[in-house]
Amino acid sequence: MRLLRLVLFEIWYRRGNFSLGVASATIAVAFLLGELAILREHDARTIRIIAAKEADTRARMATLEDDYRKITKELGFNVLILPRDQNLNELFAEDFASHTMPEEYVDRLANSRLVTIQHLLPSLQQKLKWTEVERAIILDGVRGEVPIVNADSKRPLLEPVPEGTMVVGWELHRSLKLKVGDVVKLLGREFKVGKLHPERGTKDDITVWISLKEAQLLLGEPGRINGILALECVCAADSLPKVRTEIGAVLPDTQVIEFQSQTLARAEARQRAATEARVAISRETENRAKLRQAQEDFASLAVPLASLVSAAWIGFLAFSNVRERRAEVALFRALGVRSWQIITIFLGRAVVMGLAGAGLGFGIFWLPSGAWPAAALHGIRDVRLLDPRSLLLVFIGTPALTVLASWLPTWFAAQRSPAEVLSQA
Amino acid sequence: MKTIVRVEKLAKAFRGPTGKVNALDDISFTVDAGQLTVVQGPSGCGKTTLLLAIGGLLEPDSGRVFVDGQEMHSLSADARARFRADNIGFVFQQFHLVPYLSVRENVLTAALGRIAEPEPAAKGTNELLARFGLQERARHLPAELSTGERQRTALARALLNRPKVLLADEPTGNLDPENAEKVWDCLRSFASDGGSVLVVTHDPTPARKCQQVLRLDQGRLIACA
Ligand SMILES: Nc1ncnc2c1ncn2[C@@H]1O[C@H](COP(=O)(O)OP(=O)(O)OP(=O)(O)O)[C@@H](O)[C@H]1O
Ligand SMILES: [Mg+2]
Repeated sequence: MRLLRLVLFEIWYRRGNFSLGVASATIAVAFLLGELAILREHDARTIRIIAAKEADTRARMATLEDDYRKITKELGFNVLILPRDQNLNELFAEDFASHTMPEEYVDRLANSRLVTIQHLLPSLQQKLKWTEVERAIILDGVRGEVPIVNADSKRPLLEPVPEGTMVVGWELHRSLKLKVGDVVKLLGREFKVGKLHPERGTKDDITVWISLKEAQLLLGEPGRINGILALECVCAADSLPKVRTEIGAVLPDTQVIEFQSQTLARAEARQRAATEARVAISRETENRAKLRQAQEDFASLAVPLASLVSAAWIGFLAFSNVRERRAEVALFRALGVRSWQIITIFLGRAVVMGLAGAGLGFGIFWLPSGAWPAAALHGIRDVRLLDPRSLLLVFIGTPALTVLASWLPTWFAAQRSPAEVLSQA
Repeated sequence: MKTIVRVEKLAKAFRGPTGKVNALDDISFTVDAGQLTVVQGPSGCGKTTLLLAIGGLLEPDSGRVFVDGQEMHSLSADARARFRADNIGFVFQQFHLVPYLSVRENVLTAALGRIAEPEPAAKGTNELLARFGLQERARHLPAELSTGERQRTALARALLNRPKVLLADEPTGNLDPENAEKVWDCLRSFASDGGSVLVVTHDPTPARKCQQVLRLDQGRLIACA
């Protein structure tokens, strides 16, 4: 007779005790698998949420980009045309270009039918000392807007400054207490104050605008300018190279730089939006991770606790089983059955119990999801997320648990002297 | 005749609530092959203790037990178990049948201790069941048997391994005279086939028909006839 056969017969004979043990193991397994499923579902949902958020951000960035493309198309961006040999470092350090180019360039550009440029503003600028009032100023000779051939006639962006008058920046007219109509001397020449600018918070506040012709005379640069501001180039923000080539074709002696363009600000705004989206996603990821940690903490307490309670219960059942079988053990000893065989009989029972518990616990989880009431699932959409690793864990771990729990009672059973039982009448 | 069981100065005392109880006190005797020995004495005189000590299931305080020349208590527990499986058959007053096994399987449990061939064991079981008139009951559980059938099953189990010694503790205590006689017949035939039998019994009649009678009182051997 095989030991396994004996084990199975005994299990059937004392199926009550056995069933209680199996139920206990099943609960432990269900607990473990439930927690694993919840954690895995949580991970899956995290991936879904983050992916959705990223897709959403991508879509929003796309529309944003599209919006800016439209905005820049409407507003255009600004370029400054400078003499080719102008050092840019010097330009920004000194606030004006020291090199000049012929004023005629602006007319050439205006007549060249470049559709990308909307407004052309030639100027001759210089930072100098207003000796009469002992102030450092920027003197800006402007001609007003040069009309572009074939362009729609729009309201000019900048009114020309009439000869003999000046427009004064905020800081200057405030500190010099200038009023419209005052006559002041600038570099030995008299000008009537024609207009006062409001505060701008830029170097415009220390700028004096006069007509280009008078500026050329005052600065000894007749027929020369040192910059052309081309405003609202109608093109996409990223086509500066195109603008450059076009202008370069007409005016080979110049260089083109992007200048105080709104596009830059927009691009920055876009960048900021992207950063914000990234921060939002990382915050969400962090939150999900925190949530998972909490669940993991709970599982790491609940699962061992359930296993422990289950093991204690199984141990108690094993103890009562051993007690009930004292005469049987004594008989086996009398028949010459070796202690390892007796241990095998009892632990075999524990293994069968563990396997049955694992199978049952697993079976519960493999029930078709339709058999589950929706509420019981707690949002676990796919309980089959269980992988072969947890399968192995369950089918090895559960018998290990039952064997461990039954070990002590079994050991005592094998050690016990049979004489006591056998001598009892 | 060859001596199969030799007991030398065997002593065993138990510690009880009223002090030391000498269950076995300096007992010596022998049982030859083919000899049926009856052990008699009042309740509590140490009869069961003697059988368990001879079978190696109880460690004596002193003295030695030889079975077929092998000193029982010099063997390790597992070696003793193996030796017991091969050489000693037990019959208990309470039968001690395994409740979840059928009659046939209960007889076969005797083969558990022998790693040997299941084939002869199955064959031997069938023969024994036939001999004890238990074929009809072979598939029944102990709970479904009469007392006599249970005792016969226990006897068949004890005989399965063809032991040299049969130790029977009041095997007829719970039986009606007719069934008791069947058991005695069996024990006698085992002895006449060359086996040694030690039977504890209160029954005075069969004692007269056997080769040796041991009388115990308070653990002492008071008569050996
Ligand atoms: N495990 C034990 N612990 C303590 N005392 C024991 C133990 N086993 C037996 N005894 C005592 O040893 C003595 C002999 O017991 P034993 O069972 O051998 O008697 P017995 O002759 O078989 O009696 P009965 O005819 O009633 O079966 C008794 O006094 C009993 O109380
Ligand atoms: Mg007794």
